[in-house]
Amino acid sequence: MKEDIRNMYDDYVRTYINGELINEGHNDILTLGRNLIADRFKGRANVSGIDTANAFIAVGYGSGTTTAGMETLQAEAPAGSIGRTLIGSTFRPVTGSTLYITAWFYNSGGLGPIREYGLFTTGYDNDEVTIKTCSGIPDAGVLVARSVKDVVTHTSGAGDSLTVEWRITL
Amino acid sequence: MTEVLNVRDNVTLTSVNVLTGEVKKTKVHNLITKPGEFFLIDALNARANVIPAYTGSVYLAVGTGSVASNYWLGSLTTEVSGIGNPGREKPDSISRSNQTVLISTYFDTTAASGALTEAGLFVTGYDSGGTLRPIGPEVGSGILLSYATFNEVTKDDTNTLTIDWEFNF
Repeated sequence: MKEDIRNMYDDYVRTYINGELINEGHNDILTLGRNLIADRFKGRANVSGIDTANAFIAVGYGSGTTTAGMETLQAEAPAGSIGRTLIGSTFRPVTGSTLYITAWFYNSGGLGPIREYGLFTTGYDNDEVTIKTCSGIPDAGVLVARSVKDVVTHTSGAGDSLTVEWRITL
Repeated sequence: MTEVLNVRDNVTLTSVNVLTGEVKKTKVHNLITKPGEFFLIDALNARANVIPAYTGSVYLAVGTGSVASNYWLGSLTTEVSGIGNPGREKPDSISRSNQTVLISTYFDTTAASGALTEAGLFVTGYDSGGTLRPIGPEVGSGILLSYATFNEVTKDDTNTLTIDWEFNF
């Protein structure tokens, strides 16, 4: 068998409105995201995981191509539109190397013509000194991965929900 | 930009003869096992009980066996062990530069002697059956994160051995 084994992350993002799958697309792991994955491997202090206590999924209106050095979404939905929410659940099957991540935006959250999605948590900036703390504030934290897809227009309404499902496979 | 992220690793063994100063280097690739993949995902997910790769929570083991590598390998074929000749050690350093994590482990003249042909990194994580396997100095403890085989490196009490294990994310 091959001695040089390459394990590829097969990442993608699915968008649901009221439980109906609207679209699906791949995403890119960014430079700071790769650093963060390496830091999580070695247990570096102050670096959070992709978990329900620390990580957020954000949505935005930018449609530009992803570049490795991106640190924020192009146009994250403002706080008034509740453009980001804490991850609601994570799951890895017993014999699988896929991390299933789900976040829900209810009612008045995640509104607008959504084109881009970002996965954020707390980690280090490029200078390896500054900690970028993740929170509910737009652009806060380390952008681990980004996805750009066809537009999804999410409008406010009682009982209305936008669900983002993110998969990272090693 | 590319849509995927690769994880590669390389192993460099450096043997130094303390009598003559002769240095021999062996460089090989290796594989990340399936439980190793589980560990990496669990570490990213901050899963309870999964201990990241601190210097105190990793062991590097060497062995004298020979087996075709497979993703579900759980242990070395013949891990070196015995009184006065421990075959596994905690790393001396774990560092990161950009997306590369380097784990360096040093065996002095009193350890890891034998006709070495295999090595593995062990950590605390969940095995293929979902059972947590804690790491320790005992032979076979922990899960095998990564495995490498190589042409025989003869290690005895006149040699030291440093093994540098790189993970490139």
